[in-house]
Amino acid sequence: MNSYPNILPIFKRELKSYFNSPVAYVVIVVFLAILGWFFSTNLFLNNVASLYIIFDSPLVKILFLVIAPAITMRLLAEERKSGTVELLTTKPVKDVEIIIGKFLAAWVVLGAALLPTLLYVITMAILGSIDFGQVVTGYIGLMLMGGVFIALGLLASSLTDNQIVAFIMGFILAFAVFMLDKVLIYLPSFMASTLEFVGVDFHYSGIARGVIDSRNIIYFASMLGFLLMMATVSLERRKW
Amino acid sequence: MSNKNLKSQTLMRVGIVAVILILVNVISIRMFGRLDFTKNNLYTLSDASKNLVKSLDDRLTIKAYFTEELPPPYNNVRRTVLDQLNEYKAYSQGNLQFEFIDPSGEKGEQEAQQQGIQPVQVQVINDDKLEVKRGYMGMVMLFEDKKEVIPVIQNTSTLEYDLSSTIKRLTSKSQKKIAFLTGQGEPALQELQRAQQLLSRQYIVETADIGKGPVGHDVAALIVMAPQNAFSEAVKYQIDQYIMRGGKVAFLLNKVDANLQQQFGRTLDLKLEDMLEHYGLRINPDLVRDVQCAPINIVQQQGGFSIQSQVQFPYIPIASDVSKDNTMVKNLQSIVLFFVSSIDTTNLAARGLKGEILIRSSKQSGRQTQVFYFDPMARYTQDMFTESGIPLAAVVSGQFSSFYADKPIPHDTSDEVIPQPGQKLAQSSDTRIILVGDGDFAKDQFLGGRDNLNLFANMIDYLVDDAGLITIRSKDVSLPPLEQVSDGSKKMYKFGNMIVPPLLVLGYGLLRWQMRKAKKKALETSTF
Repeated sequence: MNSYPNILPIFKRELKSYFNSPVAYVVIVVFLAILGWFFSTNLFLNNVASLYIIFDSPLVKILFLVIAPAITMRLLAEERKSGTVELLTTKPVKDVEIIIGKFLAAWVVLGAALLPTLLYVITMAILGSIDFGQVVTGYIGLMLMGGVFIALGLLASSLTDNQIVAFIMGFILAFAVFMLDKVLIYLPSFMASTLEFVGVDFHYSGIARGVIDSRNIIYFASMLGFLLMMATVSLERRKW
Repeated sequence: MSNKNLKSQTLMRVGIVAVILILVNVISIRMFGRLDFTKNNLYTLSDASKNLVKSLDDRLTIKAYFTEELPPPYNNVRRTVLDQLNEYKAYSQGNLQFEFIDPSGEKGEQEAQQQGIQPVQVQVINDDKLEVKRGYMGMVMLFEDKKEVIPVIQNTSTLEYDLSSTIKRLTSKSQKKIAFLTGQGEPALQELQRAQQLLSRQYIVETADIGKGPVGHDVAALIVMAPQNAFSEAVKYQIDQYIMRGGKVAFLLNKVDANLQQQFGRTLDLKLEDMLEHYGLRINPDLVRDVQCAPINIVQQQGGFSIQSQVQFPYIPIASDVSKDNTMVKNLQSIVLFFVSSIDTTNLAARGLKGEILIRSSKQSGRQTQVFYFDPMARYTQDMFTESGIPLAAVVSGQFSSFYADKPIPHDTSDEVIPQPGQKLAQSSDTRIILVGDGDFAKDQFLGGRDNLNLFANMIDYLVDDAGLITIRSKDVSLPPLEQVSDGSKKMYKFGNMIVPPLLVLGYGLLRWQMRKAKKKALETSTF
């Protein structure tokens, strides 16, 4: 961290501005309201003590696809528009520090959206014997998948100075990476296994079922690293 | 540094990092480690499987015929099988070898089919057309001069059990025999096809009509399932002597013969009760009702329309209170029992036997005695469910004394007198007996979820002492059910989970807003 002293201040500043503006609350409340409605209506219908049904449901993934770009859309786009990027970057701050600081802040906001869902865990634990190992890996998986979506949203946000465009691009990027392993049947077979490996859902479900596999972790680490590097490059473009 | 230079340098950096990341991922596919965080280690090879391949004393060769480049989800099956076989191999001390063969082309397909592997139809899209492709996903295991075939592996959720049970059957020197008792109105094997299928992977399954002769010495376990008619003394004597010889018996009995269609049940006198009593076991002439129960479909006539609806039917309990110490049941979560009678093991101790209750009813249950008349639309009241944990199944182990120890050897009066072979035994060696208050749970029509079938197979494995397989099979568990709570609590849980999380966030936001406002105000006042 010493070679990047500005990550922490940027992260703190960004996080503060998230929680001081109403946008984050709106996004999180909508997310929790929809997820809570889904969880509650199915709770006694499914009648099983497992959160895997939530983790594996298309709903939670779609919600993530939407809220991730909603969280990230203003991160760079707004600053480009208002010119604060110039302010930021004329100070001796490295672009990579901006990207990482902002990424971490957005990731924490996503985590904050998940935090109240611990109530679901508590409910399940009261009503039945729940597999806590699977719950933990489920949350790890969600955070990693959400991290990829956030990184994609950040990349999209760095490409434009319009928040709405950033949101839509972020959503499309995340959706594409998410759908990769769903459309394999339409693709030539020699590409299938490669594209499946790039698809995020394949790795997410591997972790969410309860197994931490080095292959999945390396995938997520590479994906996050690569996307953040791309976002940095995209920010550096101003200097070219 | 010129801008152009910076650009090309950056792009170069991106390219290098991308290549490195791709390489790392390609390597990671081949070299990987995994940690299983699930409670029952669902995705890890169990000790039983490890020991099985560890104890191989000769080369076991596995040829896996998998068509390459099948579309998902089939390509995942190949991946999973490969991972799984690698794990087996790692523990086999070199005795397990496997190879993957791609049976494409006419010759390859011929070879696969000759080995007994059937093609499966797989849909692929080729040039805008939906095509049906033939794929192979099976394997052949070779051991010494024997061969076992798994023709199709489509569902990997039971993969470990399928592999281990096949390896076990292939490498075991002799197969054990189990027998279903017939002659007292027991269901035919056709009504137990799924159970029979599962068992015959491991055992030789046959029926035994023992009115005329003793149970064979080679029968490892005898199953007395849902007899309808009274037992003759001769048959009872054969069962008794089978137990005395160390035989293991599962009594799965319907004490009350209930019929849902006729909405009526009658108590059966099996004439077996006195013998069970002698062994310290009793099955009560009652039916257990339970709040935790399965629904049934009922059709009602209403104004010329017939309306189908589901109602909870407490005489079909879903038992989830199982003994956590016994491998047979500890991982089963929802055993559906059809008209089950309570059992009693309180006399065991006096006979020096050890008993263990395997399954109990839920915390809200009760018993119906004497009159068995069921109206699906009946209203149930709280005071009908005041009991808790009524025993429904038990296993007894120890040395049993013969029911006929001080009785004459009974002779079959209906047929010609059969000479009773051998001498009468009065005391058994260590053996075990299972008693379940329901004889229907393993029938095809009542199987329901997997737990019923697993319970049945586990009981047989337990009796013939094949505990290893139980631990593998029980990994394929259904998800645990929620506890039954009142409708009021249900509402509370539902609305709580719906409303509280968003409210928490809103509350935090408001609090923060208020605090900021106060801070701002304080700041303003302090500056002046």
